[in-house]
Amino acid sequence: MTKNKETCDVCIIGSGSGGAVVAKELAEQGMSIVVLEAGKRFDPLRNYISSAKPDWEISSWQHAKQFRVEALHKVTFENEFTHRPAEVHGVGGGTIRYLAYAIRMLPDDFRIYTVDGVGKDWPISYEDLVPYYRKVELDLGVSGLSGDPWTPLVDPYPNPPFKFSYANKIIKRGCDKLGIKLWPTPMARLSKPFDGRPHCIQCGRCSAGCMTKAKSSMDVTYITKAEATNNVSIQSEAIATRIRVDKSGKPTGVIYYDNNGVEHEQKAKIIVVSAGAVQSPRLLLNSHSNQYPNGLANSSGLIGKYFMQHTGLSASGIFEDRIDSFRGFFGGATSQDYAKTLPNSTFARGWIHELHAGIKGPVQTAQAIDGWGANLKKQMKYFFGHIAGVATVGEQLPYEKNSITLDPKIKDDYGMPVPRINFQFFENDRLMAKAMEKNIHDILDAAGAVRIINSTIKPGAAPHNMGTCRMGNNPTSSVLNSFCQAHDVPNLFVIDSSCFVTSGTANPSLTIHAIAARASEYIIKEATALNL
Amino acid sequence: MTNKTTRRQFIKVSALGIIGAGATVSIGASIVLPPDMDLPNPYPQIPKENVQIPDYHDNVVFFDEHQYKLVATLAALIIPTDDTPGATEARVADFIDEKVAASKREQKAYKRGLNWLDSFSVQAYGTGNSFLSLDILKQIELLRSIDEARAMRYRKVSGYFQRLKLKFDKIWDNHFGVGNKSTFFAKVRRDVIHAFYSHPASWEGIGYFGPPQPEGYPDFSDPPSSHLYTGKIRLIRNTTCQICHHEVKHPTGGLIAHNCKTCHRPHSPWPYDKNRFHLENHVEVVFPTPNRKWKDG
Repeated sequence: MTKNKETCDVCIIGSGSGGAVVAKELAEQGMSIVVLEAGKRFDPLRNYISSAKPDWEISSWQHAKQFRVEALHKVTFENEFTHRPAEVHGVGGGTIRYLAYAIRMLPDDFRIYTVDGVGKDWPISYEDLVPYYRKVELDLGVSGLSGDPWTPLVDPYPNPPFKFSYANKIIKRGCDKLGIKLWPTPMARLSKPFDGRPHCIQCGRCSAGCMTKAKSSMDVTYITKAEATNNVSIQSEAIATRIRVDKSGKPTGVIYYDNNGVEHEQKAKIIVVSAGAVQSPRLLLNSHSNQYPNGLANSSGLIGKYFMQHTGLSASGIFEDRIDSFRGFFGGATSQDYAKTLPNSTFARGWIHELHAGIKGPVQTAQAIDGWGANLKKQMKYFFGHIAGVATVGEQLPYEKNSITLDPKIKDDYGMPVPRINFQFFENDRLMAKAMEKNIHDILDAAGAVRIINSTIKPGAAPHNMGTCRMGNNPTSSVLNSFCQAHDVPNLFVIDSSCFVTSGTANPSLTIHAIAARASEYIIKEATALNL
Repeated sequence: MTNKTTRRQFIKVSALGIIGAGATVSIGASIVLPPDMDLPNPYPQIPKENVQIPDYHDNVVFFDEHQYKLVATLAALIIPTDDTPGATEARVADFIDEKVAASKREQKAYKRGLNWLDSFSVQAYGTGNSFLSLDILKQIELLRSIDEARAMRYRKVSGYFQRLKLKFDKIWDNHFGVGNKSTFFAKVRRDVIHAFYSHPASWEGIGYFGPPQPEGYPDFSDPPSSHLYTGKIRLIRNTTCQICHHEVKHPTGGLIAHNCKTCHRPHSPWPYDKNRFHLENHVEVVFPTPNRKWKDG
């Protein structure tokens, strides 16, 4: 094993929604930072697949493999196979492929126990996060319209909102009939040139990685700014396997493997884990030692517990008139009318509506049609360009049973146990899914769909992993304090979606950024006071 | 009962017999269907004329002449030519040939599958009746029965024991290699769809006007304008790279990301910020676009 001689101030594991923000905020204060990222470093122009070729659909499916690190891909399942939680490896993390929804969580999402008597309250409130939401929105150049009916008034967004796409306007007819209010979704995508990046051209290929840098993913925003300070060194293809602690039980460094399989140790004064809600708990559990036999910072025994995923459901309607819904991006209009426990409902909490363009390219549409021969061609004429859809993202309550643990037998290439997933839907989720399905059908019917292609609810439909290292004020019932600092170990922070206490309904990225900005401020304050 | 029905039924039975050879005990029970019952698959209409297939040529990498003709025939049956272009015009067989040549696994699957198709044809229609020598009605009849048999074997079932049995069948099929055969037609169908709908020839028929990049969809909020595009695929500016003046040949006539002759790095032809990429890629070279200087911010 080679040791990196220099001790850095902060070592950040993971460069996604959490890690990138922390890297930038701390580097600007002059701290020396090393970021360890398991995935590769991508140049948007050279590495992201161009969708300018006729076979763009097939080639982009093949190309998606580059966002996966095989050594980290293996997981096992406690019960029967459900799904592999989505993860994106690469500098920028999940934001490389995200759809750039920048929705704030609602005030009630932070206190669902008080409001509905389910789950648990967050140790922070919406008001605590407001200044950080604002800061992040300005940094990302969020395009949106303030004054929506659900969140308390937001200051004007830095960029104007996107228009509703034509497919959204079709679905809006249905929403209007049912009295569901729609609002332009705040998007971390540029409607105007901003910060040296061009505006979005509505190609709709966000999930393949944005070549033009119009999508404010971490690699073109926070990582670029962090590197401009010259205080940050980003080690890509560095797979962290465990955190080392000294005799007094204080974490001193991170052990990682580079792409040649050579083991290194990066010593650091402060360690920030932002590897996502699956890999973060795994890393902490794998870092067990004599002082921490159950895993680092795991005196509460709650690391890995309360794993949550949004219950996603989407359906597409086929309309008589041509819509050409392949134009434009996924989403564009959102309703948070149902993002609360509705009166007379049989289940707790709710969901948000996200209008989308349905099935898109010709290959994808043809795949969705059965049969062959002249009939297939005829049906393609009838289907293609006539599809528009609605997706719902529902809140899943935290359940202790849904968890990430370590597999007792199976190990990865580096000899570390792989994550073992125990995930299932419970009664509340199933009831909500049924209601969601009915609601989507109502909307599509009211919008005038002649036929509905429905997707059934299945785990992993909305690729948002959350929970597993929850925040809280009480060290026995939580892993982290409200600043994402481990209760047991003061110089260890877990800053990513793992810290979520409940899942909310909003897409989690913006909230992770805001929490990370808040935690960074705390780290700076504590480090200056020499408390860490 | 007409002759036609009984023969279809017979072929269906033999298709099942081959696919599920020895796999299940209850195979006799599962194939008893009322003769007129059709599965909910929309089945092909018969094209009026015979299928036209392209000639074998020197650029074919993997298939031999017989295999190439088989694949081309299958493609032409799956996507027939009518008033709009079909698989033959889109040169689907060439696309599949390229794809198959690149992967050993695909080669094995195609070799096995095509052999099986011929042998099955002989089994169904008698000696000397290889698939290519059949007339078009018989070809379609054969494919239909294969497709129906597959749909029956892998149909959606309810009930714990039925699901368990299906799981067992799938494992058995995969383990003993019949899985490749039973799903071969489905695989060919998928490959043909991939090839056909990613070829510009197909877009005319469905009113699609090309890939989403590089232009994007500035009109995404307006009512559809595809009627303007049907019959002609939109052309994207010109065929010379604005940056290195390198000729780019592309079926859509558009510019695609390509390797620059000057710097041997990929360029992309985004029209509005080409200067930026130009600056990134060639720091020392000066380009003849003085009027539109890209500014930061």
